[in-house]
Formats: sequence, structure tokens, C-alpha cells
Amino acid sequence: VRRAGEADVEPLLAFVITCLSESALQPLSPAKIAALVWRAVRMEHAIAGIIEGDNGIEASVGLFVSQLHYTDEPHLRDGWLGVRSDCRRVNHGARLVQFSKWAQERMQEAAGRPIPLFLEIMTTEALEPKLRLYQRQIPQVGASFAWGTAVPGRLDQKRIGNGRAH
Amino acid sequence: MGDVIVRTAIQADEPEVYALLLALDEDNSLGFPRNDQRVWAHINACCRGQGGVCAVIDGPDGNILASVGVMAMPAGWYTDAWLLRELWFFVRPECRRGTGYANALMAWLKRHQREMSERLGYDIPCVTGPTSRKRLAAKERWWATHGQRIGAFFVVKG
Repeated sequence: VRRAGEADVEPLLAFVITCLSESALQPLSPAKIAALVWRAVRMEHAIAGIIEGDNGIEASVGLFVSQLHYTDEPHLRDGWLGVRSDCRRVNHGARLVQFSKWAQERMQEAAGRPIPLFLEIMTTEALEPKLRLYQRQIPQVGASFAWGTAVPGRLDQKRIGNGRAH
Repeated sequence: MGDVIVRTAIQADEPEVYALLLALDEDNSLGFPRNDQRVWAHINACCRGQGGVCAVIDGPDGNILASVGVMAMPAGWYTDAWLLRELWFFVRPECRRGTGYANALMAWLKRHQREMSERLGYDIPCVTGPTSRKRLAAKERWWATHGQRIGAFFVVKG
């Protein structure tokens, strides 16, 4: 896994949109995704790791600094962590988790204080194998459940105030 | 076990809701230092209907035995969509066995989601779930009886 830089923006943005469109529970905002990808490649309280193969990016993780609602303490959390569909049997996922731990260690060294790493899965696509991948490497501290989904597997809605959902 | 009364909290309930959240923090903290200003901001928002709402179950002495707080908020960093996110869902440990409080709070939460969806004109999702280092598997099983599992989260402590 290598750290992504500005030269990676275009392929990384395409990868992240593909990755999220497979698993996201909500409609994507390309502008928000582009903003976080740029932050990550510029290392603006964010970082991205990528694994490349002959046909471009095969896997990537993006991490950014965030806060929980009840504390001022920062933590590092994932914006995306995904492996291209044709590369899912080569342990890329585990390498991305290792990269995330490495990034957390470097970040807290630089900050001089503890900065926890949060990784979150939120999807209905192939949830169980993703859970097993994470559970093998990191302590689980929570789970998410939902209802109100217009279509099973997709939280299909328009913005608040935007009228009736299709 | 009699009928459990769940009511929507009002501003006057804020001190008791705060006391309950201190009990939650003591019972089941992830270890992040609490910022009371932030905690109060969320209590205020939920008890005053400013983007959030809070339901409580009263105890005999004017204290609160259980509560759920929920806010409408952006659904994630990558989307413009919104959802209802549970901020806290807590029953005092001594009130968990045979009281039906958790089921009553969950029923209230589902009703709130339905009513909000009706007002908005579309089905706004509600996301809830346990955050805990204690008995997580049992809590997951209970939550799974109420909603579709959509994820999990993991922490490496610094």
C-alpha cells in the first residue's frame, strides 16, 4: 500500500465513486467526495492509501480526522475502504486495514497524544464477509441497524424539504 | 409489568436527562473525554425540538430511568441526504430486567420515524444501534429484532 498523492487524484476519485456507489446507503454527492479525496491526497487532516496493479487502482482506503458529537478529542476514521470487484481474493482488504493502523500510529506520533482509529462498515452489500474481515483485525465496539428504507438495501430518499421520494 | 409510559421530554427535563447520560457514560464509555458543553448542546436540541427529540421514561422519584435521543442530521460525508440518527439509547442497568423499557423506547422511536416520514412526505431512514464494550453480541441480537443490520464499527485505541 502506498500513500496517495496529488498525481493520483483522477483515478482515485473514479475509484472512490465506484467503490461508494456499490455499497453506499445514500445517494452520492460528487462534490463532497471530490473534496475529501483532495484533502486526502494533500494530507489536510486526511490521508489515502492505494494498492495498484496493471489495470490501475485495485484497492484504496481514505482516512480523515473527525470528532464524535460529545467530545473535543479527535479520532481518525475511514471515509472509504474498498477493493475492486475483480481483486477481492488477494487480501487487499487486510492490507488496507494495516495501512489504516500505520496511519493512525504516525498521526498520533505527530500529534503527541492518543488518536483512536474508527473504522465503520455501513452497507447491505456483502455485509457478512466485510464484518469478518474487520473482526479478524480490530475490536468491534458497535453495530448499526436501520429501518425506514424505501427499498430493501438502499436508503432511497431525496433531501429533506425536497418533496416526495420517487 | 404494567404499561410503560414513554413521553417526549421538554426543557424542564434537561437536568435529569443529563444525569441519565452521566450514568450512560459511567456504564459504557468508549473512553473519549466528555465535553459537557457539547453534551448540553445536544440535550438542549433534543429537549427543545431544535433538530432533535428525546423520549423518557420517568421513575417514581422524578428521576429518569431510560431515554432515547435522536436528531436529524446529514447521513454521511459523501451525501446530501439526511437521516434520523440515534444519539443515545439507554436504560439504567438496574431497570433492565423485565421492565420492557427498552422495547417501549424502541416502539416510540419507530413511531417517531413514521410520523416524521409522514410530515416530510418521504421515508426518512432511522439508524440506531449499540455502542459498547460490554455484552455487545447480546445487544446486537436484541437490536436485530427491531431493524435491518447495516453495519458495524471498530476502534483501535490510541
